[in-house]
Amino acid sequence: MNGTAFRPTLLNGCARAATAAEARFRISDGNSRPRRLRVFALDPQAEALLLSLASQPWQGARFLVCTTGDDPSNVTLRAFGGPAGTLESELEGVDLVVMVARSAAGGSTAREIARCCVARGVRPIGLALSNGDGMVASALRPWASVLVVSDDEEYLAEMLKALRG
Amino acid sequence: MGGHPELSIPGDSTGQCLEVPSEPSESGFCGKIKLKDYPLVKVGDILWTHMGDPALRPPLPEWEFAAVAPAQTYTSKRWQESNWLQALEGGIDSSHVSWLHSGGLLTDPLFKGARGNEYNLQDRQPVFEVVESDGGLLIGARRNAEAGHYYWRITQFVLPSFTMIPPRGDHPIHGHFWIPIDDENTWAWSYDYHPNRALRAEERQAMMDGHGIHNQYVPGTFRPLQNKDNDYLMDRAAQKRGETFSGVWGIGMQDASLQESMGPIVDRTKENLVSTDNGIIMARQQLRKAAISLRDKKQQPKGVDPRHQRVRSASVVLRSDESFADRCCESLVATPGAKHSSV
Repeated sequence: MNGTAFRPTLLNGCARAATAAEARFRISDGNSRPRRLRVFALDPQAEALLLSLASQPWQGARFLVCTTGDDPSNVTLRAFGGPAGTLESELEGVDLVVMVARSAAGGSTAREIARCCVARGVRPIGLALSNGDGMVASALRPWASVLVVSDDEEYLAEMLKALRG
Repeated sequence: MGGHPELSIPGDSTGQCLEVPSEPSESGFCGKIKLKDYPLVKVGDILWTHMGDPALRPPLPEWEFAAVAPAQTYTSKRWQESNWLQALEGGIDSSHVSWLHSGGLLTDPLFKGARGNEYNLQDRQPVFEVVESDGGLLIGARRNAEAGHYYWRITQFVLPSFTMIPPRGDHPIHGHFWIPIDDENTWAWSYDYHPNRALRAEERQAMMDGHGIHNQYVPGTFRPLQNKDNDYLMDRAAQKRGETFSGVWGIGMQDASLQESMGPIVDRTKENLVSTDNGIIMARQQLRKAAISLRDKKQQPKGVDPRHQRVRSASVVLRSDESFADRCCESLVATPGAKHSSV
C-alpha cells in the first residue's frame, strides 16, 4: 500500500468545509480580470437599444453599430461617443461578443462578425429581440454559438452585467 | 388538531380549536385558538400544498409525471444541503452533461444505450439556443449528428422551480422540483415517468436502488448515503480508471456534490459566467421579475397556470437548417398517451 492511502483528510480539504460557518474561510478575493466585451447592433432598431445602454457605466463593454454598403462583407463600424476601428481591430483581445438584432436584415453582418470571432477563438452570442418574428432568430442562428430569443429589451443589460461587461 | 403528542387538543380541519379541557366551555376560550392551516391535496403520489393568499389559490397541478397512471411514474425525494437556486441552476445547465455524467451515459441502466448518448460524448461543446416560453424557458443544446443534421436536447424550465431533462431513447423522462426548506437547504424531488407505458420492473428497481437521477439514503432519513460528511464516497481509483469524471457515483449525486461543495450559498459577485450560461442568466431575470410582480401587482407568476405545466422535454435530430422552436412545438407539449420525442 502506498503512502497516499494514509494521508489524512483535513477538514478544510474536503467537501465538509461547505457549511456556512466554514465557508467564511474561503478566499473571497475576486478571481478574474475584467472582461472586454463588444456589443454590435446589427440593424437600426438595435442601434436605438444600444444607444440607451452605451451611456451607462460599464467595466469593459463597448457598443458599436454596424453598417454595410453594397458589399456585405465590408462591415463599417461606428461607436457611441468616439471613433471606431475596423472589425478586426475592434475584436482584438476581446473576451466576449454580443450581436443584437431586431430585424432579419443583419444576417450577413453577423456572418462577418462570426468569421472574425472564430479566427480569434471567441464564441459569439446572438440576441434576437424578435417580438414574435422567427426570421430574426433564423438570420442569427447560423452565426451564433449561443442564441437567445427574447421579446424583453431589458435582457441585454441583464446579460452584460452577468457577464461582467 | 395536532398538539403535543402527549396532550392533543381537539380541533377541526381548519385548525380551529374545539375544546380546551382545562377551561370551562362557556368561557369560549377555545374559540381564540386556531392553528394556521394550509390545504393539502394528493395528485399522483405527491402531497401538494398552497401556502399563499387563499384568494389566489391556483388550480390543481397538472404536471404529466403526476397525472399519468401510478404504474408509469416514480418519484423520490432527497435533502440537498445548498440553496435551492444553486440546485435549480444545475438543473437548467446542459453543457456539463458531456463531462460530469460521461461515465453514467455508458453504464447507468436508466441512461445507457441511447443513440443520443453518442452525440453527447462526441461533441462536448454544444451550441445553445435559449427561447422564452409561456411558462419559463426552453434551453436547446445543439450537437453535431450525421452530416447535415444536429442533435438537439431541449430542457424545460418552468417557473419557479421545475426542470425537465431531455429524455434518452425509450428510457423514462425525468427531472426535478427544487423546493426550498430554508436558505441553505433544499428538497430535491426527482421524478421519472414514461408517458405511454408502465415502468418496467427493472426500471423501477433501478430507481429504487438509486440509479439515474435518484440516490441511496442514510437509512431512515432523506439524506443521501453519499453526502458531504463522507466526501460523497468519492472513488479516486474509479476516476483514474475513467469510469467517472469526478469520482462520484450516480448522476444525481454527481450534480449534488458539485452544488453542495461550492458552499451553501455561493457569492455570485465572484462567479465567472460564460456565454453558455445565458439560460441561467435569463432564468434569474425571470424569477426576479416574477417575484417583483407578485409583490407589487399581485400578478400570478408563470408556472401557476396548468397550461404551463403540460410540457415535455425532448431530444431530436433535425436538419441543420431547422429550428427546434419551429419543428418541435408538438413534442414540447404533454399530450396524454403520446410517445415522447427521444433519441
